[in-house]
Amino acid sequence: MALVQIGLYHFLVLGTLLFCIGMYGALSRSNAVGILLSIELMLNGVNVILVAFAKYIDTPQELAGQLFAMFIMTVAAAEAAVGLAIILSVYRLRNTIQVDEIDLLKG
Amino acid sequence: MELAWLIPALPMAAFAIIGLLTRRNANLSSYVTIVAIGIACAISWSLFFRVLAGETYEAQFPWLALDLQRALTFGIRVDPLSAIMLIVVTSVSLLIQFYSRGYLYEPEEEAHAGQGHPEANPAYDATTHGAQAAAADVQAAQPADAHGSTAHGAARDAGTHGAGQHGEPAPLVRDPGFARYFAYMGLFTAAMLGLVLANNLLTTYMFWEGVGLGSYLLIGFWYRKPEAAAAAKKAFVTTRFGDFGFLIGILYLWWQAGTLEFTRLTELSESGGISTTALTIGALLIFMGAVGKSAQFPLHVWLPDAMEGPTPVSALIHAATMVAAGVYLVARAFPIFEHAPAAMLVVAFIGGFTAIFAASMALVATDIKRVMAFSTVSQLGYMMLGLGAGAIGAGMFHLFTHAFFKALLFLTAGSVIFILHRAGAHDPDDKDPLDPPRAQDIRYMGGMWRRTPITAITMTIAALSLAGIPPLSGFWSKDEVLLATYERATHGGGAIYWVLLLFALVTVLMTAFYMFRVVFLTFAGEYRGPANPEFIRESPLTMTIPLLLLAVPSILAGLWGAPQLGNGFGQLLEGSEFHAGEMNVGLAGVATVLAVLGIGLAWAMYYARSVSPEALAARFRPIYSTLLHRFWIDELYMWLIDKLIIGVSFGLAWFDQHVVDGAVNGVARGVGVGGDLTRGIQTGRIPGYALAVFGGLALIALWTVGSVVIRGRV
Repeated sequence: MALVQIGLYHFLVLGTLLFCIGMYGALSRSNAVGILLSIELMLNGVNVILVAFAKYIDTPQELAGQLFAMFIMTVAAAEAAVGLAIILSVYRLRNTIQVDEIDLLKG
Repeated sequence: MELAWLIPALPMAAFAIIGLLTRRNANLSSYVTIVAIGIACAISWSLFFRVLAGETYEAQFPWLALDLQRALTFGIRVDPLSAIMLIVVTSVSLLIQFYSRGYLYEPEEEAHAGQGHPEANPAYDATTHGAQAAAADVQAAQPADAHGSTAHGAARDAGTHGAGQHGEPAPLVRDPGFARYFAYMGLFTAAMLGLVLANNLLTTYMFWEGVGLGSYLLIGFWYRKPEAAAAAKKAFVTTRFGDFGFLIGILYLWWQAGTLEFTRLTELSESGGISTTALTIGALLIFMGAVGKSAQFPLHVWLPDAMEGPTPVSALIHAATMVAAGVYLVARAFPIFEHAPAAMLVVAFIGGFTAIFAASMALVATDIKRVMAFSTVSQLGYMMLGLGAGAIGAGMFHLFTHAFFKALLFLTAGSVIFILHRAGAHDPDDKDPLDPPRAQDIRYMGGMWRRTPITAITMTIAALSLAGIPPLSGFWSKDEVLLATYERATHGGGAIYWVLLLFALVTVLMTAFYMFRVVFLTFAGEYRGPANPEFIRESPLTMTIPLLLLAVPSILAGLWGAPQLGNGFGQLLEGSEFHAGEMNVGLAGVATVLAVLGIGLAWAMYYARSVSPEALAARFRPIYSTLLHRFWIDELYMWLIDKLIIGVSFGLAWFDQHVVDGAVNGVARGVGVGGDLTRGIQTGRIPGYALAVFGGLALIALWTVGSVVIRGRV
């Protein structure tokens, strides 16, 4: 049984799987910290796909994919910091971080 | 010629100076206006002589640039037409300013009692005051047992006068609005002179409205008198009604011709640059403005009421200037009318009809000023008839002579009113509200000939001139109008011009009759009114000198346009187009005979008393009361306003409240209901929103991929 040659499609499937798992988590979790973690997962799924495209597809801008990935990581770090800060504040105010109990936006 | 702009600017400056600086000093204020108009008058005369020598002058500056090519301009033009009007307006206005300095006084007690007379008792029995009532008033007026100011109230209650307890009439005090009066006079004269000088329709329109404003202020000068305030409003609103058409006409001509200058419009209409239809519409719309200002049927209703203003105002506004503005406008825009035969016919018909229509109402009016007012409307109809018959010379010549003798008539009427007022002609408290004040009612006059000879003689001269007795002014100009109508009728004008000629001839008879009805009732016989006959004395010199000065052109001005003397007026006005007309001796003879007949009839009825006017009135009661109520036109308009306009307004109000508001409120309510229905979707829970976002995204992705796949297969 020959080893399966790892190619672009595998990375794409991996990235898609990561994204979908993250999305499932973001939608199903009710803990705000869990949602934040799931969103990180989604971002990383996207990162994988970007880097894979950058590696396997010949373009004049070879580094574009990597650069996007770098940006996303930066933004994700910032988002995590801000998000955790918001969660902390919400917890102080409402004494919970269960998102289905935080429904101030209700019309 | 370059000084022409000063002519309207000076009276305007007088208005500003009085309003800002000298209004506390009545005497000084009046001199400011007199000096300003005097200089304007001198400039006008010098311009006139240069125009006589063949010069014209036109100047303008762009006022509002619309784009690179076109601009609305502001300009003046001095040509024969405007030069003639300039001298008429400034000269008459100047004399009237002098006269006003004497007129604007009132007996002292009036000033203490406030403006105007006490309101008449509305429950007063509305039977007509015949000779018996007048006789009773005379008897009540004779005893002068009242003494001092305390007796004044009692005397007035008894329906007598309160003046002159010690053999002297009550001392006169100056009207408190003296300075204001002269400021308004300056404003009005400035607007009128600007209107005369304007070289395009827009400038004309601006000053046109200025004239309207000036007349509003002057008619309502005694604004504490409710009738005067109402009359001012009526004059303003009625003329605005015509101005509305005028404004649309200006816009229409701008759209059709691209210019508003009279010279360019003339060129365009002569070269056929504008279609006849467009010219007709434009001419008729402009004529609407003229109908309003010149008080032609059906917008004549304001002028009789406008007599509530001071009499010199009536002389200025309703004889020489404002009402002449409409005629002048038609003459200015005459080339447009000339090339629109249908519009000419309308002008001629409105003019001819107004002439006879207004004259018939003058036959029965008892207010001396109202008779003059109807007479003015009627004479303006003559001018329009002359213009409509295609003779700009005839129309303008009648305007020219009419300005003098009608101003004189008004001023003499003012003199009569002033004299009677000063002599204590008070209204009884139970005066019929429909009756004119006693000091203006010709039924309560008489016998003033011996006591006030200057007023009597000058009014008789003016009346003879108006009646058209040769060789006075009115004869020549009226004859030209008649001749123009006659020529039009014989040269393919059609049957309508024969009818109009008949109207004009009947009007000659009526005019002579009503004028001499006034003259005989005022000056002949014995005094029948409530004033103390001892106190009826001639007006002061400031009033009689203008009367004498105006009597001169009333006699002589017509000779300028007499065919036998070469008709200098027509030559100047029509220039190269002038062709010397023969005098039609037959027509002039008929008109003169009719005028003499009218005077004779008045003499028989009101002097010799061989025909009883009361019996005639009783015999032809329907006609008499129709004329007395002015054909119920005012009532008709009131009815139209009450029923039609207010009815329609109620309908519109219902529509507004229920349909328009309903639609607006319905939309709001619909949105509210929709919000209530859909607010449940907004749970406020983040996962729900996130699900919607990602679900939507997934659907879009599926749809995109699906459509690519399907297209790929096909």
